[in-house]
Amino acid sequence: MDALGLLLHGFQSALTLNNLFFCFIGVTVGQFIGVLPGIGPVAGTAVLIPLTFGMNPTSAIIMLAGIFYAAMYGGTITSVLINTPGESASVITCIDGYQMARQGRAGAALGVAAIGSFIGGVVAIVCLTFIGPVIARYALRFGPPEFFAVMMFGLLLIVGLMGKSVVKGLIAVFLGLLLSLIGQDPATGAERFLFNQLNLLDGIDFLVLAMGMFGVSEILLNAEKSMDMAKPPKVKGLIPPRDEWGPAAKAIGRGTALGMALGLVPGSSASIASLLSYSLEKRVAKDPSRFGKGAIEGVAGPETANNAYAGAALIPLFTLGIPSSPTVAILLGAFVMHGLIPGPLLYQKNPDFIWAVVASMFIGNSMLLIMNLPMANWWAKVARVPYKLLAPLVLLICMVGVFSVKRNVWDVGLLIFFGVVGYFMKKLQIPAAALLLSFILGNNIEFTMIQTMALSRHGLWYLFMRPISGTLMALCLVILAFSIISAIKKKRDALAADAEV
Amino acid sequence: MARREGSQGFLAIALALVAAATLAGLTPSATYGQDYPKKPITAIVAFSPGGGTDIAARVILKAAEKYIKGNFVVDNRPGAGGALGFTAIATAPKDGYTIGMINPPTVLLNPIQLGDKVKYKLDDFYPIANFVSDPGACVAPPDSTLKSMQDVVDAAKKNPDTLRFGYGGPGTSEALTLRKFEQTKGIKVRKVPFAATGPQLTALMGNQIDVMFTNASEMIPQYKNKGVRVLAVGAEKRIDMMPDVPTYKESGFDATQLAMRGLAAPTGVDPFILKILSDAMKRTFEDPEFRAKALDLSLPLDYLGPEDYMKVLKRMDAFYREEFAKDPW
Repeated sequence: MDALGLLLHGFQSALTLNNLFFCFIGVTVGQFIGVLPGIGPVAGTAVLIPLTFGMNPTSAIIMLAGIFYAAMYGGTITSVLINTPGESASVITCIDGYQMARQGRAGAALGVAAIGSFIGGVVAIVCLTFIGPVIARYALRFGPPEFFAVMMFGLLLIVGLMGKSVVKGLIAVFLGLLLSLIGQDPATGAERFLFNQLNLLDGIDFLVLAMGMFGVSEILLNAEKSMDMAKPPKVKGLIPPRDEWGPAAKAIGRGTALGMALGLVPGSSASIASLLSYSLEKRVAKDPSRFGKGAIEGVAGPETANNAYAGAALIPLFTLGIPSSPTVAILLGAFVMHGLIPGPLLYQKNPDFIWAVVASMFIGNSMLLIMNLPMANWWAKVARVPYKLLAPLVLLICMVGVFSVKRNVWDVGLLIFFGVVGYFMKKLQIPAAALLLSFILGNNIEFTMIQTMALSRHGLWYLFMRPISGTLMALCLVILAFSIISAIKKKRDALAADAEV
Repeated sequence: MARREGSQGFLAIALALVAAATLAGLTPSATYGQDYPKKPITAIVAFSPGGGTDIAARVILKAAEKYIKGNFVVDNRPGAGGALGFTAIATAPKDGYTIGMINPPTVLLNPIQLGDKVKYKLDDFYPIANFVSDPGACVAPPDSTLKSMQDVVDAAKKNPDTLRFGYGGPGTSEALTLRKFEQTKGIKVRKVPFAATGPQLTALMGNQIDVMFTNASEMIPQYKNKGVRVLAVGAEKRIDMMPDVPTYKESGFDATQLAMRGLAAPTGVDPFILKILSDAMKRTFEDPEFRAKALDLSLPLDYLGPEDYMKVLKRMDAFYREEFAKDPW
């Protein structure tokens, strides 16, 4: 059967009442998480994983994936209306989106963001539909050296792209790699950094780290500041004026391409996609001075890019089992907990599952379009839920969530510990997302490195002797050279905003 | 006032409970267990929900509810390669309301390999029944020139240190089997560790490795649609699900490798209750509905009653201790 036939088959499963329901729950929760400042998609997805244990894997992943891409929609609303990004991929939207709202063009800003998000999201899923199986077939040629090279590539991009300074990015990456060393050594079985604690034998649980760094620390941080929201302005007229259609359409096109390209890169994130899109729009604009004063491209581009990113980021996950961003890494964890191993064989072994999830994403995006266009006013009110009610609830959900995974109080303690660590990291502007990604890549890098060494008769040269891994390793060296040069020249302004998750 | 009344009510209930507990303690054990089970029985699974052991446990326990005339609640306690969950079983209250899944040889290997960090020993368990014995399997890609285990030996002899052999990583029972394979055949292969069967199978299909050791049950779907070639299995005799596949022993490799899954209670539980449990499990094993479900899930069934199970466990334990004393693997 070709991809289209399989997709239709997937729709059959996605359109069952049960799966429709979980898709709806997923996108609604995602929209909530997107709208609510103080809880992002990483924590949101992580917190809900334990709730999916009793569900069948297809419904569970449909719901969790829904949270992931829906958060990209929701974040826009608060950015535009009250100048508070609901999640970090919408930070950049505040600049022009809020200006548009102040000029009474809030409707146009939200309209173009919703339409752009929809287009970006759907185009990315179409790619997932048709390119995914091709990559999956090709991915069988990926052996340990290739996986090692891909992940090294990702690791270098994390250092290169995240945070304001290379040094702080490096600190985060090293901390992440260090944490990933805890537990049994995959090559020799030797015990590392156990401190005689059996609880550490399997290493630190990724969920605990993620919920601590992104859930608990965020609450600690927000507790310091007043989180009372401004009253949002009324939204009128969602269709932008005719003369803005042209530039907006072009920005949406560029955002789609950019977001999709980044989605394929391990170590990137939706925030990076929207940041890069904003700077791209500014660069190609005839009159860059309009930016910051309510340029519609400044909303259309980034909002499209982060949604295209969200769709495309699932391609490396489904086909290679490599997570490109922290949220996708959480999804990977959910796959494994449901006994599904992402990778090329997933397309052969669980086609029903894959295509149901892909189909559900088309459905979910359509639901979101409806949710966001006519209901924007309502969502803006959601953002004004008093923080003093929200914070303890989120904290509670984090703790119960972590406990429920292993029924182990030790993990709850670890959660709080990483919450505090995350808090100080944010104070010191060390990017927690870089730590999290390098933590998850670290384990795999080490393992594939050991496998490569077991296969190789030429030591590390083996990596350069194979075409795919050789090319990637060469690219790694180029990136390394570039980031050293740019660090020396201090040319990091394009990404100067702190690119968190 | 309402609050005061409430607390009095609570006191009364507590007193009644204490009285009931005292009475229960005084009555002879035969009558003590007669109404067992009075409440749901907790079954600890030392691995994550959705994993092989968890799925097996849920299928077994679901079927067993009919015969025990009660309910089971699965309690997943993953971590430390199962050591946390096994410890929880061994140290559970000895009232018959907590049992658990044990996975020999993992349950035996933990105390041997991790030493005094693990707080349980084999004697802490009373094996109720074994349900599944999943043999190891030696597997090659379908188009491989390797058609038997002898081919593997020949290929390894012809080009020493060249054959790429995937296995479950150091410390696993597969690692020990591979060591034994190398030693008894006088060969040397390239040992490539894998953390899970998924990536290992991917590597095999992509010809990243030439041959691998894994579990037979996880190869059954691929075996059926000829996606892999199973060269041999590590059971005592051929298994029903792969009747044309010889055993290791038939292939000239004198070894068995079994991953077992069964139920155990902590030692010290009332024998009357243990009898109820083991009888119910025996009947569960013979239940046609259960057997059909197990076949669906590719679970290689293998029943052992309490005495036989303990004998097997003791024998395995002695074997692993002896091998470990020679040299950890």
